[in-house]
Amino acid sequence: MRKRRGKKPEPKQMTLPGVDVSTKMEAKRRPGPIARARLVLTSKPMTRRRFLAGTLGWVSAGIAAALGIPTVAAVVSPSFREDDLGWSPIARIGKPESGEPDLRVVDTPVLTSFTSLVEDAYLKASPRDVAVFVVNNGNEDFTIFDVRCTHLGCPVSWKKEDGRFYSPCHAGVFDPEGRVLSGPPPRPLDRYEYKVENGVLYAGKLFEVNDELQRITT
Amino acid sequence: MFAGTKEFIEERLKLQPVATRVMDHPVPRHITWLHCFGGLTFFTFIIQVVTGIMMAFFYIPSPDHATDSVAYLQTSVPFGSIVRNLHRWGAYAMVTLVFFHMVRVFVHKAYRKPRELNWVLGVVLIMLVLGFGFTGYLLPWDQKAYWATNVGLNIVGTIPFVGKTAANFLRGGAELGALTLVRFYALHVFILPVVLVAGMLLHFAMIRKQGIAEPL
Repeated sequence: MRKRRGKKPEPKQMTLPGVDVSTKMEAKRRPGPIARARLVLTSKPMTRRRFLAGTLGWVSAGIAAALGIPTVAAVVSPSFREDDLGWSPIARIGKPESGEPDLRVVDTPVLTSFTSLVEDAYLKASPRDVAVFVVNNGNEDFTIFDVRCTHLGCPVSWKKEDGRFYSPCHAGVFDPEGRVLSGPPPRPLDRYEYKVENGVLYAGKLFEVNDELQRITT
Repeated sequence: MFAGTKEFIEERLKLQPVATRVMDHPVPRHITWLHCFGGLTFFTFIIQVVTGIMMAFFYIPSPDHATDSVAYLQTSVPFGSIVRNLHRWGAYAMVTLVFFHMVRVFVHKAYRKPRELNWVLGVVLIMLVLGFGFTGYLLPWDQKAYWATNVGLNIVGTIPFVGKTAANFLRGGAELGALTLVRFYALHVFILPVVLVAGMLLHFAMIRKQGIAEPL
């Protein structure tokens, strides 16, 4: 490996048999910032020109910081926004009306979607459609899977004959409880919190689970 | 880690003589603090560019979202109100300083031969700065912005012969609306900056070529 931009380019040393090349010159240590500043200030006589140039430099740096820090902070800050959908109704649990999914079927994933009104920055109520698989486990116990594969986010589909979720993109396969059976996905299918109120199923926050299907994100 | 970077670049590009020529320029003895207004105007321009680019990360030039996006920047984004107000006060400062600069040149009679062309260019630059102020004023799309622009465009409409056409062009039709907002936005962030920067470079180049005017 050739060093292109080393600090101190060392001359290539020929290795001759029987010659010890390990005795290198000990590298000179670079002085720290304070020592260097002292060196700069004391090595040359302080002239008016040098003083003004230094002052100009430091004042410029201060102005750049005063202008740069708020600006960069403001632009960077939205990257820490968290997504909160709140509780959104999916469907009634009872007998479905036209257009509604039938959630009475037990242990079978039903593909459906809910619309959540989210506050997205300056958009006060931005509708967002979220596709989910709802599984009725019986006794008002539900599992709501996010359709997006945990590998790179392709929407998985449920194949009834196999009893498997398949991702269309990179051969990710999940079992009916969302565990990874094969392929590249790093973790089981993500899930939504749910609650049942007045016979209506609601979806809440999205969360991740580990291989034991225990919740790992809050 | 970066030790030797300067030497690496210097060895290949030989920038030191260029930097010395541009930055380490002797100025005549009769320079006073009054000669600083032009440079200060340029400094406020830098502030406007930096804060303006930052606001472009948030602003939407649409009647549906303009006010909300500005309010979001102002109230919800950390440092958003600081940056926006820097832009606002920077605009006031720029107009004020460029005016002082013009008065200084006028009082010192620095516009005389051979510097007439730079004076004329300077007047164009002042117009561009005022154009920035006028177009930027509409962008928050609130009542004040709307009616101020309404008045401004009616004033444009009073120019003999071409006024109506010019006002309709700026307005994007007979009524102030969505197209007006996008037009003013395009002027404010694309057209005017390019023209202003080109004009300023020419302005500075002429000063370098002709030197600073002799004292009275």
